[in-house]
Amino acid sequence: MSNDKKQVLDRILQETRKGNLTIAVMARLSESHYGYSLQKDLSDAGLEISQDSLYPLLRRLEDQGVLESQWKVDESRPRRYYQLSELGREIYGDLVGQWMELTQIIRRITQ
Amino acid sequence: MTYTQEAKEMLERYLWNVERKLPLGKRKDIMMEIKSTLFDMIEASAGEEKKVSVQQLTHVLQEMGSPDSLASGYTRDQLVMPPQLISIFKTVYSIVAAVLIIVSGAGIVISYAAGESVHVLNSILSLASSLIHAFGMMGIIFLVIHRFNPSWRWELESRHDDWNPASLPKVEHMKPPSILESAAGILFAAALITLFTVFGDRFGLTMKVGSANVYIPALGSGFIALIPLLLVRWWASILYHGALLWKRAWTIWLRIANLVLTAFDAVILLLFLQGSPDRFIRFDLMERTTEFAPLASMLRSLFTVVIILLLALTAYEMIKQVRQFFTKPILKLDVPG
Repeated sequence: MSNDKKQVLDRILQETRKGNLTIAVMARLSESHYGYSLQKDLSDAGLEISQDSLYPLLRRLEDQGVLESQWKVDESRPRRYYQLSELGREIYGDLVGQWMELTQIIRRITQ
Repeated sequence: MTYTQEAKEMLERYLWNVERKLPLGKRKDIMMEIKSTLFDMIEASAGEEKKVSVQQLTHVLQEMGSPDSLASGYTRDQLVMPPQLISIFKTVYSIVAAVLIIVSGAGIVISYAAGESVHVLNSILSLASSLIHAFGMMGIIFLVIHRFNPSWRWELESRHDDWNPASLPKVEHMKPPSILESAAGILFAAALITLFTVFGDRFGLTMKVGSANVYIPALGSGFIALIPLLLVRWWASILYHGALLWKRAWTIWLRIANLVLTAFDAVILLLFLQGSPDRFIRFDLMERTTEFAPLASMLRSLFTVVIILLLALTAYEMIKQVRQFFTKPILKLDVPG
């Protein structure tokens, strides 16, 4: 594959993954997780996400009010736990519905 | 968990290189989270042995991502151009700024050597204006470059880089504060305060003018007007050195205090360049005496040169201190035992 073609493909894949990662992260955060446990959990489910993508995404979702977080210091080391906020739960419900609809449309278009 | 010395150094280098690239406001919080994750990953990779080697750490750090890549995730939304381009911008701007400073300094020296009147304050303001102008112009040029090379190209290139934690820049630590220097600083400032508050009006010499002995004050009105400012500086110096003695270690606030005091010195030195040297030291009166006339005339011509030299040294010290904020960290590694 030529370098240019690979770059363009990588970019499109990166953009396509971005939105889906948000949904995956939100799905797992109906239960409380700290960053590393969330990454492991997603990885066990077959979705690899790098640290430099996961943490900024968690921060962004928290800034938007979708997630809430709290530090727990009673474990071997301080850990920041994330969970969907009330607003996050509502958004997640709508998001999954619309995403299902979209994937069906895409499937019809690409077949 | 135990770390080999080499692994500990590598970890320190990695954390420092990440920390310095993070947005200042959230730095502490983000670092806490990164450390927490990193130590989780290290623990998972160390297995039963609980001993971390450089090879294991290298693997974990590569998985974690290069400092540039990790930090850029937190700053990407706030930047007008990608971090890779900003890094090139910084290098080019440093070269341009160095050239401007050298040209400006050479201009002052040449004017002075040619006997022209030197307006140091004007030259400094003109230099500041040139630096801002260059910053703006280069910003526009780099934004144009970015316009034709969209950020995703830069991001992808950086992600594909095979980075090696062993190549991270080494952390240079600050030399611990010297007790002797701090004690000397306090004594020196206290001596100056005593001298100028108790004997401030007695600086002068009895000299021969014609056949009569006349008392000639050494300090001019300009210097006397600056004494309150100097007293503030010396009291601040006592507090600063006292805090250093008390803490026996650098803190971020002590480093900021040091920088502020150096900036204060620069302001005082600039004020000493306002007007003729006779405003500060009564060289004009000394010239009327028989014994001191040649010396006074020589000292007057040296006065401006000495102040400019001190100003240059102070500016150099300020640049060094600002640079040290980035290159010599106060790093708490907090490696779990």
